[in-house]
Amino acid sequence: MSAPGLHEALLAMERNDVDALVLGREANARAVCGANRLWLAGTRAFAPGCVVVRSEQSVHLLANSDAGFEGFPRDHLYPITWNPEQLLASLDAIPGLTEARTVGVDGMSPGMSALLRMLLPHARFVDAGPTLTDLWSRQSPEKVAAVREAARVACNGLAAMAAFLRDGVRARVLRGICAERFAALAVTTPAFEAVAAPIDGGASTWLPPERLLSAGESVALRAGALLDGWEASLARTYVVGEPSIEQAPPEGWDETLARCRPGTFVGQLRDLEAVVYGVGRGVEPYDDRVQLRSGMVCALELHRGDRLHQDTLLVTDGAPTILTSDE
Amino acid sequence: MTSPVCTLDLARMRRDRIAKLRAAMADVSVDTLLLCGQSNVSYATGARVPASDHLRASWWRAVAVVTRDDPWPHLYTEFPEGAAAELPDDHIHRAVEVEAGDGARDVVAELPGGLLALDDAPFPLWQALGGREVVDASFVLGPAKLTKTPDELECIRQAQAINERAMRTARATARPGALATDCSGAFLRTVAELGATSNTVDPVFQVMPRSVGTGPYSVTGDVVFPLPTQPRQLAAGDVLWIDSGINLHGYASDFGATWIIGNEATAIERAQFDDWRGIVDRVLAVTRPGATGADLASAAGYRNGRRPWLPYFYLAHGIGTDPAEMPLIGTDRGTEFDASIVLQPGMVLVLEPVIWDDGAGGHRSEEIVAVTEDGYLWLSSRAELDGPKA
Repeated sequence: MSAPGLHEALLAMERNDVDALVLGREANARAVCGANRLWLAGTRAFAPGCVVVRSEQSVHLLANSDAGFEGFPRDHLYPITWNPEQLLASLDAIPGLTEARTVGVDGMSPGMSALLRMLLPHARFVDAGPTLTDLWSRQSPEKVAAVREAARVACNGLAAMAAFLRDGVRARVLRGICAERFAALAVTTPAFEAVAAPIDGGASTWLPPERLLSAGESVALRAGALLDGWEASLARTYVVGEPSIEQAPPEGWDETLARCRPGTFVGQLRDLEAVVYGVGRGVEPYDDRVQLRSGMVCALELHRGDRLHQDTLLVTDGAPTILTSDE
Repeated sequence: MTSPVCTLDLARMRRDRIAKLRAAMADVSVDTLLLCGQSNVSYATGARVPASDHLRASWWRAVAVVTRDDPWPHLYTEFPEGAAAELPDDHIHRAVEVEAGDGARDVVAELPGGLLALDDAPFPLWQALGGREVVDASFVLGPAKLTKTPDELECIRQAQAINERAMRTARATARPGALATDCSGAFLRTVAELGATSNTVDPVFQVMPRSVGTGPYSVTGDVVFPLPTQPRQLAAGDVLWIDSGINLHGYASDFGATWIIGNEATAIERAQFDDWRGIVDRVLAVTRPGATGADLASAAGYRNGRRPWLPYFYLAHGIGTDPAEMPLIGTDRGTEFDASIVLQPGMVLVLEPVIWDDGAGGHRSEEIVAVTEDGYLWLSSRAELDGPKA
C-alpha cells in the first residue's frame, strides 16, 4: 500500500539529495501522504508530525487512527504523545531514519533541535523548502482536478456572501454565511476565513472593521475552501445595494492575466503589482525567480483603486484556465 | 451561565502581559525574545492576523521582538491594522520574510546582542541564526502564561460563552436525517454572528462507536477522538461527541459535550454522565492553590481499573492564547510530572474526563474553571447531558 503523493515526494527528495524529511506543517504532510488530520487554524510549533525515509520508500505519520485516509499503512502510524522520550522512541523505531545523513525539515525550535540532535547526532539538517518547491512545481492532473473541485466550493461560498451583502450588514456575519454554505457542501475547512472588507483607501482587505457596511460602498469579498486538503480561493468586488452588483476586475487585469503563461517569471507579475502564489495542498509560496510552466496552479490577485479581483488559475500553453470562474 | 470576572480592559490586559514577559525574561536572564509562533506573537503584542490554514498562516506570519529595556514590543506584520491600538507607530513595522533566507538574515542582523530566546522558527530563520546561542522561549513564555490576569480570565469566559451559545443552535440542527456537517455549518455561522474573532478548529461532531473494535482503527487500542466531521447522516440513538474552539481577542475557548440524537438518553447514558459529573466534582473538591496535578489525578481516581480520561490526552489542560497549554495534568509524562505542577491562583483548568464502557459507548464533556485564592471560579457553564439545548 502506498500513500498519495509519496512516490512524487521520494523523487523530489532524490533530486534534492535529501535522505529523510521531518515535517511539521500540515499542508506538507498532506502533500507527501494525502492524510487529512483534524484542521486547526494558524501556525503551530514545529514538531515531527510526518516523516519520509527515502531508503525505505516509506512515510510515517503522527496520528492515532487512519480514519479519513484509510489505505495508509497502519504500522506506519505513531501515536500522539506529550512525552519527549516517547516521541524519541517512536522516531527511533522508524526504519532507516537514524541512518539518514541529510534531513530536510520545515521548521525548528531550540527544544526540537536538541531532541532531533539526540536522535540523529550525525545528520545534517537542511531546509525542506527546495524539495517541497520541486514537488509542488510538478504537473499533476490529480491536483488540477482536486483544486477545480475546491474552486467550485469557494465560488459557491462567495456567491452566498454576495447574495447576503446589503446595506447594514456586518462583515463578520458574511464570514459565517460563507462557512455555512461550505458546510452545506460538506466542506468544514477553509483555506482562510472568508472576508467581506470595505475598500477604503489604504485599509486592509483581510481584517475588516466591526462597523456595518453601507449602501454604495465597494466591498471586497474573499472566499477560500480546503476540500479534502486541496485549496482554491477567489475574490470579487461588489458595490453594496439591493441587490449588490459585482464589479468588473480592475484596470490591467486582462493584461496581467494574459502574462500568466509558460516562461513568465513570478517577479515580472509582481512588477505589475499582482499578488501571485502557488495553490495546491494549501498555499505554495513562490519566490520571484519561479518561472511559470504549463500545468502549474496558482492564485493571481490585482487590487487597483476600488476594485480587487483574485482567481485561481491553471497555467496552460495558451491562455490560462480560470478554475474559479463563475460559470 | 457564568458571571463576569471583571470589566474587560484589553489595553490593560496587554500591558500586564508585557510586564509579565519582561519579568520572566529577567528571571532567566534572557535579553531578547524573538517570537514567530502566532499565539505567542498574539500574547506579546495583541496583534491579529487572518485565521487561515497552517501553511498560509506560516507564510503570513507576524513576528514580535521583545527586549528587556523597551516597554513595548516590536511587531512586524503584513496586517498593521491588526496591531493593538496603543502600540506606538515606531514599533509597528512592515512584515519580514522569515520564511526566506534574505528576509531571515535581515531580521537576525537587526537583533540586539545578549541572550536570545526563540519559540518556533521557519528553517531559514533558524539557519540565519547560525551559531548564535539561542534558548527555547518556553523558559520565558511558560512562566508568564501559566497564570492569567482577571482580564485574561474574562476573555476566556466570554469566548466560552460565545462557543456555548453557538452550540445551542448547532444542537437544534442535530436531528435524525441531518448531516453531521450541517451542525458544523450552524455552529460556524453562529459564532461569526455572535462576534467571535475567528474559529480555531474544524468543529468536531463525531458519531461514536459503542466499542473500540467497531469504531475507526485505533493505534493505541483506546477509543479514537477527535476526528474530522464527516457528512454522515445522523440517526436516532446516535451518540455524538462534540469538541469546538473559537478565538476572542486572542483567547481560545473549548467546548465539549455528548449528544444523543432523536431519543431520550438511556439509563446507561445517564449513569455515564453521572459518573462523569462525579469525577469532575471530586477533582474540584481538591482544586485550590497548593494542590498538585497529582492530587487532581488522584481525586479523579480509577474507573473499572482505568484512569477516567483518554490516555493519549489528559485529565485537564490549561487554555489561553493556545487552546491547550500548561498545566497539562494526567498526560503520558506520568505521576512525577503531575506532582511537579502546583496550582496557583490564575491558572485555568479545562477538565475533560472521559467515561468509556467498551460495548456501551461513553461520555465526554468539558468544563472550565480558574483557580482562585481559596478554590476556583467557573469560566464555562456546567456541562449538561445532551446540552446545551435552545
